[in-house]
Amino acid sequence: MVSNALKASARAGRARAAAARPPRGRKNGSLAGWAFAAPALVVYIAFLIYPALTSLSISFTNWNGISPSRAFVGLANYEHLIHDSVVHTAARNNLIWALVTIVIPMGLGLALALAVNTRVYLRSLIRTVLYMPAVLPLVGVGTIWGWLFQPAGVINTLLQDIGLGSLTHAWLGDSTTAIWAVMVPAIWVRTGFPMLLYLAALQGIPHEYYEAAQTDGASAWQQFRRITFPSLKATHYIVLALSLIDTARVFDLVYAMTDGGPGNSTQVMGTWMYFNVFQSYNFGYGTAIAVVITLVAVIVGIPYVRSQARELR
Amino acid sequence: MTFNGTKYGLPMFASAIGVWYGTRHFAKANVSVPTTFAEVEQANAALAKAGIQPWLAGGKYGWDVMRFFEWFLEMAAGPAEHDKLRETTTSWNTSSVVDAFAILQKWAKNKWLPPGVMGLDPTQVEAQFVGGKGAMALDGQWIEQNIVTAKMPQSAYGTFIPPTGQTPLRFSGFTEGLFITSESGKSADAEKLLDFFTRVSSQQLLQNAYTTVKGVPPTPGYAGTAQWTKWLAQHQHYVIQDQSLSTTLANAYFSIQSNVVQGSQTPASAAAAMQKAVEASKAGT
Repeated sequence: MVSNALKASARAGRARAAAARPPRGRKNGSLAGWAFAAPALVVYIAFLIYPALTSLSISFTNWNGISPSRAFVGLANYEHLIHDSVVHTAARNNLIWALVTIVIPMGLGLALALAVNTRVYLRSLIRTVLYMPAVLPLVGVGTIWGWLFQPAGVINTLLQDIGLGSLTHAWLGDSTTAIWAVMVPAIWVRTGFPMLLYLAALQGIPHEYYEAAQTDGASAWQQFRRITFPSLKATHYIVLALSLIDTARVFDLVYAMTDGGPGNSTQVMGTWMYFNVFQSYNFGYGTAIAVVITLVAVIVGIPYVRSQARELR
Repeated sequence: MTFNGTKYGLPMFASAIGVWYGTRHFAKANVSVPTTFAEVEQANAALAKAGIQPWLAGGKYGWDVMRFFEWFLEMAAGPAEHDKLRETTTSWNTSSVVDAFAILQKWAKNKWLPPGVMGLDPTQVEAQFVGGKGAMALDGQWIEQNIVTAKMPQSAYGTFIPPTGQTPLRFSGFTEGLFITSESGKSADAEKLLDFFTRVSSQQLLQNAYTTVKGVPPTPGYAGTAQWTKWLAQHQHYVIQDQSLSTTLANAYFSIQSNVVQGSQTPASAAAAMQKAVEASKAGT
C-alpha cells in the first residue's frame, strides 16, 4: 500500500517536473543564457579549467619546470607517490589535521556561540575579539606561534611560572610533538568561523520552543539536546563541509612554523607538493601530488555543492 | 665560472663557514680559541659548566645543523673521502660517516647544540648570537653584518677556522657569481657590465665584503670578514653539502640528520639510510 502510494507520488512528481520544463527547441533562450554566462565562463576556463588540465598533463611527465622538453612518464609519478614514505607521513598528518582541526573548533565554536548568545556585558566586543583570529594572515599567525613554542618561549615560561616546569618541552623541535603544536594555532584560528555561523543560526531558533520546554520542566541540558542541537543541523553540515574542504588545503601554518620538519615529521600534502615543485624542481611529481589534493578536495566537496544546488532549486 | 666547457659568468662573492664566538663568554669560562677538535670539545664542556650555551644553531630548514655534520665528516673522513661522499662516488655506509653522525649525536645529547635545535629558526638564532645568548655559531661572514648593525664592538667577538686535524685544512664554502645566459642576444654588452661590476673601484663602491676580486681593500668595520678573505686565499674549501647534493637527496639527508639529533636513529643506521637514499636518488626513485 505504502509502496504504491510512494510510486504514485513519484509519478505525479515527474509529471509536474515535465510540465515545468521549458519546451525543446527554444534555442533563443538557450543562446541568451550562454551569452550571459560567457564572461564568467571565459574567466573560469582561462584561470581554472585550462590550468587544471595543464597541471594534469604535467603530472604525467618528468618536467623539471625549466627545461623546454618534458618526457611522458605515464603513471610513474602516481606510482612513486604510493611508495613515497613522506607522502605516507603527509597523508596521515592531513587526516589527523582534519579530525582535530574540525572537531575541536566546531565544539569550541558552538560553546562560544552559546556563551555569547546571551545578554552579557560588552557582547559585541567579545564576539569581535573571539572572531578576530579568523581574519589574521596565517603566515603571521604561524610566525608568532612559532616564537611562543620556542624552548625559551612564552609557553614554556608560563608552564614554569605556574609550577609545571616538568611539562616544558622543545615542542617544535621534537618529531613526536611538532604536528600537535602546529595544530594549536589552527584551532585558535578556526574557532571563530563556526562560532559566527552557529551564532547566526542560534538567533534563528524561535524562542517559543524554549518557553514551551521550560513550561514542561525541561532542564538546560535537555533544551540543548532536544531543541538547540537538532535545530543547528544545517549549520553543522555547512561548517563540516567547508572545514573539510579547507583542511585539504592546509599549508601556511606548517610552512611557517616547522617548514615540514623536524625530519619531514610535519609534512602535509600541501607542503610536500610545494617542496617538490619549487625547491626540488620535480614539477611532474609535485603536480601529481597537487592533482591528488585537488581530487580529495573535490570528492569531499561534492556533497556540499550538491546540497547547495538542491537549495537553489 | 665554466660549466661543461662553456664560460657563463664571473665569480663575485666568496663565502666560508667558520666559527664565530663571543669573547666575553670565552673569558667567563676561561676558554682559549681552540686549535684542535679536542680543544673544541673541551671548550664546549667548560662553557656548559659555566652555564653558557656553547653553540647556537637553528635546524628548522636543515642546513644550519648540516654545517656541523659536514665539519665532522671532513674531520672523520678526510678531504679525499669527503669529496667522494659529496659526489656520491663512494658508499656513505662507512665507518667515517658513522663516526661523524656519532659526534653529531653526542653534541646534541650533551646539549652543546641548543635543546630543541631542530625546531629553531636559524635567522632568530643568528639574532640571539648577536644578542649574546650563546658562545659560538657556525656561520658565514654575513653574520658580521648583524654584529656591526647591533653595534657590537670588534673586541666582543672573534672568528676561527673549525679545526679538523686534516691536511690540507679545509672548511665549507661556496662561490656565487654573475652569469650570462647562453641564449643572450647581447652577451658582449653583458660582459662589459660584468667587467664594470668586477672592477676594484666598483667593488669598493658596492662595499662587497666577500668579494672575489683581488686588490679590493677590506670594508672598514668588518675585521672578521677581512680575516676570512685571507683564509679563503690561503686554504681550500669544499662545496657546502646542500649545494653538493641534489635537493631530493639533501631533503633525505636533512631527515636522517634530524633523527640522529633527536636520538631516534643510531649513527650506524643513519649511515646505512643515507646510502639507501643515495641509491634511490641515482635510480631516480
